[in-house]
Amino acid sequence: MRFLGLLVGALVLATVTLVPTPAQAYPQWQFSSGTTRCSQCHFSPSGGGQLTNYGRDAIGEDLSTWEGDGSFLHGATELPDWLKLGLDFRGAFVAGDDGGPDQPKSVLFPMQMDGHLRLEFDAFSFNAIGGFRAQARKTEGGPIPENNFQPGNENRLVSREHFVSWQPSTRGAYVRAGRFFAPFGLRMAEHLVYVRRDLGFNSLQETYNLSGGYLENEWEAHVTVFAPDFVQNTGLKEKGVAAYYEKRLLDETAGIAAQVKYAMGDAGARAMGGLVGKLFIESAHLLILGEGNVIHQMPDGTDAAQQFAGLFGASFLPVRGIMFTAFGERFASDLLNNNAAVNAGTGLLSWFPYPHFEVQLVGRMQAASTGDPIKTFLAQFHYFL
Amino acid sequence: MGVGAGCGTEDNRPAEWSFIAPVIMTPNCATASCHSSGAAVSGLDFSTPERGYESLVDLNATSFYESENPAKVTRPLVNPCRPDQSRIISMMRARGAQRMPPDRPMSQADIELVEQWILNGARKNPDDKDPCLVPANMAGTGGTP
Repeated sequence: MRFLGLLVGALVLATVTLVPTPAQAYPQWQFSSGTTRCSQCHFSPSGGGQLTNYGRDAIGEDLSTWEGDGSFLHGATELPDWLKLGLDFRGAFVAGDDGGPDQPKSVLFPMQMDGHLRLEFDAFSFNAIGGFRAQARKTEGGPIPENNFQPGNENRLVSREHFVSWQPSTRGAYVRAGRFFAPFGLRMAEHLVYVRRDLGFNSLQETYNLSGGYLENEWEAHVTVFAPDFVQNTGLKEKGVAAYYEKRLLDETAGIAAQVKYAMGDAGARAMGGLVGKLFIESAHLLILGEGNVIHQMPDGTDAAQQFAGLFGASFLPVRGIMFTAFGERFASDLLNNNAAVNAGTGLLSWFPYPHFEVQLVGRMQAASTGDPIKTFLAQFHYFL
Repeated sequence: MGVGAGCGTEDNRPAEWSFIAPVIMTPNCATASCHSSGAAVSGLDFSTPERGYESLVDLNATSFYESENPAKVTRPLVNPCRPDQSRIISMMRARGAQRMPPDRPMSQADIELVEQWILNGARKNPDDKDPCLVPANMAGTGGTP
């Protein structure tokens, strides 16, 4: 029984702690790698997901410790222009202590296996990311009682993103429709950062959207109308609109953005607004980044509440292929009450030794005003094709 | 309706399910791989206030933890009027039970708000009958406080 408890605990820890964001992104590369727009390295207008040829070249020639070929299959074959393929694999070891019984826990497991597909026809494209959905315990220790709610999606295969896009040029107007995250905030790869977890951008919470925008080197803007995931029922049941505007400054080494989102759910609505900032100091090899949001919660039939979710940190890129990131976070479920806040500190060491490979170490501590902190250590190996 | 909080601050938020469900339970519990309607781990679904209330008060939840009960507990997570006997509070505080949510500690104020809601009878609506009231013919016979 004790073994079962430890096993279940480890699986829960692994599922909620490690499942990566489906469309991996490194906002730390913006400005620090000489790019101004995330869409230079990614096909998605707002970044994340499958890499462009420019992005693959950057990984091969500039961003890895040792140079190599960043293209599909390491350049062993050449795909037709209308077809783009990719694969993401991640394996991880995680250990943690959440202050509860049977601590600490640890587990070694495969974390992600996603395939990427893009079909291009002139200005139109179809993009999809699909893979296996991780899930915490379900049947361990016996079946779910018959009278309880039964899982609505037994299929572990999940398409996290699929959308059609019209984008005649890498700069200018675009429109896309389908499932993806609305452009909003820092697109950190770590889905549990509070500016993702608490704003509706946690793992597998992609919505169905109609989104449009305009991209320039000096600025970009995105507006998205979104609805819940009605196919796989993995996300929040919210619908609404989100908007994001980013202006590049200081000879395109910095950016500041404003964002708003209004979401209506089954039991009320919430409105949020925030600012995002990035500044790359080339002489110090340092990228400073931050985001702060105020959330106005409006539950039906009762009082409203104000919340806050923010992140502030920096990435140090001393030599090619090495990136050290540290950031602090705060989430306050009630802005007027000091006892309603949770704080976190995280350090990440990422090493990109050779194109297609990444090794990452993560340490994270989270604490409320009382009680034991949650401590998590993660080591992961990432390979993309 | 507000509950007191430490550090010279006060929690003026309502200890009502209509507030707790969308502001505390759904964002923390109804994540994709946990208690969303798609996953409904352990048969619990916090994606809507209706389903969330049922999951806490009416449905049986199984415990896998030896430290809690080697015989596998199957009972509701909330015991109305008794936060000290409600397993959801033990889980939120990680006291003899697996921490929930497992990815982040809940703030003291949020836990106290849920405790206050349970202490008030864990009612779905404030107008519902208060289960904590002891009928006159039960007075002095050990009814719930």
